[in-house]
Order: sequence, then C-alpha cells, then structure tokens
Amino acid sequence: MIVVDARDLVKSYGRTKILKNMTFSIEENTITGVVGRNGAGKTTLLKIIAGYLRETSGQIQVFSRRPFNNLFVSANSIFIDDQISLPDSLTLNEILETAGSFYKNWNHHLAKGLLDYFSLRPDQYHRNLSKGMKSTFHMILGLASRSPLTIFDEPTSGMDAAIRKDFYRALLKDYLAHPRTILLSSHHLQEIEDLLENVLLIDDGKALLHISADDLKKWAIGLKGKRETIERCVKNREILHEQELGFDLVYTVVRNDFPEDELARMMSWGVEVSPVSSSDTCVYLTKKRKGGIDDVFRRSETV
Amino acid sequence: MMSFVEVKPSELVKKQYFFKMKSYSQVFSSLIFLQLLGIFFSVGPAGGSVSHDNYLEIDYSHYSANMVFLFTMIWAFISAVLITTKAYRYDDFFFVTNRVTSHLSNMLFLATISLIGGLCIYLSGICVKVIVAFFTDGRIVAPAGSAADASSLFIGALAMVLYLLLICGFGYLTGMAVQLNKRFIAILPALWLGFMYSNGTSKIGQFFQKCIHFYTHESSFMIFSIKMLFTIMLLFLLSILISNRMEVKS
Repeated sequence: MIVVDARDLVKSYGRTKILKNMTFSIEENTITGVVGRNGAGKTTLLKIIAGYLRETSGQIQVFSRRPFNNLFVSANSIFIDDQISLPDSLTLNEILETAGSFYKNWNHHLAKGLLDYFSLRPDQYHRNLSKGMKSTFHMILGLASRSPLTIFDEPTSGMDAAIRKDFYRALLKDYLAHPRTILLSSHHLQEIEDLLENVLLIDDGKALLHISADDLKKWAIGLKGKRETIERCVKNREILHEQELGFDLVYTVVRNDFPEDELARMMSWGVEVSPVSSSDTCVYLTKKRKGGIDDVFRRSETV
Repeated sequence: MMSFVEVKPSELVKKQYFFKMKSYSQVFSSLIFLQLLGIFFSVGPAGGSVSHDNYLEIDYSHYSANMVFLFTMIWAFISAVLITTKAYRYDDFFFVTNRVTSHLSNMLFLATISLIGGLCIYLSGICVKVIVAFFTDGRIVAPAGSAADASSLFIGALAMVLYLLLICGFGYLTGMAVQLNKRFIAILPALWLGFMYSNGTSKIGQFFQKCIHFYTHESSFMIFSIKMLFTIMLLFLLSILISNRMEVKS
C-alpha cells in the first residue's frame, strides 16, 4: 500500500516557489530519510503531508486522502519537530496523558519508561525544558504515539550525541516491533543511514533521488589519480565533484555505473578507486555551484 | 501492521473540550482575580445624594456591581481573543483535529466560561450587598425589581450569560481576523472608534446607534434571546469561514 503519494506537488508563498512539481510515493511500513540542504523544502513538504500546510497545486494524498483538514489523516499521523506547540499549563505527565487520550495506538507504558530513562521529571512544565530536553520529550511523544504515519522533522536538534544514539536505537527497536511508516528528516545523514531503508533527496523543491539506502551507498564512486589519467577515465561523464589534492593529483567523484572490466582497467592505470559515502553523495548532488568553498577564497584572492 | 483509527467528529469535539477545560485553566484564575478587583471597586458607593429639611436628613448612596460586570465583559473578550492565538490554536494540531472540530470545541469552551462568568457576576452582586450591609450602618433599600422572584433572577442571569457569549463571539472573530491578517490589529480598533464617534450625525452613525438599540432595548426576553443567539451563531460561523483555510505555521 502506498501511504504518501505526491504528484506535481507545488507549494508557493506569493511568488516564491518552495516546492516545484515534486513527484514521489512512499510505501507502507518503511523508514524513509528526507534529506536535503537547508531551504530545500523538507519541512514544507513534511508539513503538507501532515496536513498543516495547504498545497498550492498538484496532488498530495496520504492514506489516499487529501491531508489538509482531514480528520483521518490527523488521527493516524503525528508530526514531530522542535517547535511543537504544547500547553504551558500542563505538566509533562499530563501532556502524555492527553496525547494518550487523542492517539488511539498510544503506549503509555513506553512513554513513561522513556521519560524515566531520559531523566525527565513528570511534574516539570514543557516551557521550562532546555532545547535538547524539549527535543527528547517530543521524540518520546512521537515514539509512544505509534501512529501509522510518524513524521520526525529534524528530531535530534539540540540533543547531545549520547541521546541521539539512544533515540536512533529506540526508533529502530520500536519500528521493528511495531512496523509503521516513518519519515525522518535530518542533516546528519551519516548518523541515520544505517536506520533508513529509503532516502528521498530533495533539492531546490524537487525530488532529486528516491532510492534505497543501500543503493545510495553505491551510487557514486571516487577516483584519485593523475589529472591526465582521470580525465581520460571520466570523459563524457557528469562530474559530481572535483578536488585538487596537490600537483597533478586530483580526486573526482562520478556516478558509479562503470562495468567491472573498466574499473579493473582504471586500477591498472594507477587510479585509486574508493566508495563515496551516502552523505557525501548527497552533498555533491545538491551542490549549488561547481567547485567548493575553496573556489570562493581563490576568487577573492585573485581580485 | 498498524491498525488505522477512525474518529467520530462528535467524540473528538468532546475530547478536545475536556482537554481545553483543563489546559486553559489560567482563564479561570484570571476571572477570579478580575471579579475580586470588581468587588473591591464596587463596595465604595457608585453615587448618592444627601437631602434634608429642618427635621429630616436623608443620606442616600447607591452601590452597584456594574464594575464586576464590566470587568467580566473585558475578561470574556480577552479570553476569546487569547484562544485564537497560535500558542493555543496549534495545541489542537499537535494532537488530533481539523479546523471545524477545533472551532466547535472552542465554542463549547467559550459557552462554558460565559455561563460561569454570568453566574459569578450574579454571585458577586450578592457579595457586594453583603459587604455593604456589613460595613455600613444605614438601611439597605434594594431597588424595585431586584426584590427578586426566582424567575426574574434567572432571566437576569441568563441575559448576562448571553451578553458574555456575544462578547466572546466578537472576541473570537476579532482574534481570528487578526490571525488571518495582522493588519486587522490596526483596522478593527479604528473601525470601532470611527463608529463610536460618528454618533447620530452621519448615516453610518445612525445605523450604528440602531444596532446598539436593537440589542439593548428589547422588552421581551424571548425575542432578546433569539436575537442574541442568532447573532452569536453568525459571529462564530463567520470565524469558521475566514479561518478554514488557515495553515499551521510555526
């Protein structure tokens, strides 16, 4: 079953288009990482899926329904980010109880257990929590709700490394015990890539790539060697990334669709072939311009 | 496989209503504070006179709980505006809601606070009487009509509740309009002042006077209630209409 289905999805504010004809679909019971640069449109997309924002044109369907103003979608999904609005007058424990009364699949035992594990006092008020503690509490809400569609938008912002690790582990454990559709956006792809089944890479309001996390790991390849040799190897190919390593030595990243024998031939020419991590691949794919930050400095020095 | 959940709107509204009664508790604490303040200002005489001839001197002061009524009206308005603000509106969206159920539970909440507010005004009136009786030596002369058979008391209290609900309706619409477009913060008071100061001289002013008259000078309680309820429904309906496409942005 397809849980989220977007076709030519457009969202604009005035003349600014945030999402530009985005098309993709997400299968039931998968964990998908929504990845992209700042301002690529991740949050906007996730909020449209949650029914918070209204699409400008195109089609978005969640559980085969249009999410905006839809009770079924609201009851079966939960949206977690670091800016959740929660009542100031209720203690954490009361908020958990309230969430339990609204979300039918809620597991109060799990919520209380996590609250205790992360040393959040149940009689605290939400407004008095620090940024990291807020994120931790929101994560608990997201996990315990056991919503068929659970959306985490940058859930780990402000969390320290230990809590982030615990969170990923808790998410995976609970997902395996109670499969559901999870969307997870994060800046730290390398942290979550082992968790993900699929990756949806968004760039400039478009769905650039939607493949399995395993395929993404093999998607690109890095070649290191003499400039002349490398140029011969990558002739007529799109270069994703290029870096000078020293005199006459370059590192080039291209798409990994070489046949086996060609790879062997390149290695015999003295080219070092190395895998490119998913997160580097995403960075190269969504680069705004050719050349990296080095270029900016080089240009400013020559002026 | 997760089981899907179907929700009945009526059930959800009920749930949201109880959630609001609990989480908007500061609305009630501010009511208590304002009523006490109102009572404090009311135990001093609101007016009076001294008349005498050679044999007899009548020192007459009158007390009224109008201040309590005024404060409660302001409280109702502010509370209604308050629950349209993002901090309150977005709470619903974190849990389960659509815009209509959120509005309906807000209305139930406002109806409840109007009821409680109206009751408190009535009780404050009694409280003022008791305090005055306790601290003054004179004789209490209740004005005609307040000698209170049960039905007129009931009607008085109910009218108070309806006025409060009307104010809530205005507050809610005002709040929603401001949420829709921040410019209304300037436009609405300007409109209001414009109406107030155009009294009777212009066509608009006359119309405004007539509107006020329409609600305040009605001798039949039945017709008064119908007028009020109709207007209140209109205000809330308008609020729903203007906000049904509003997004949840943070």
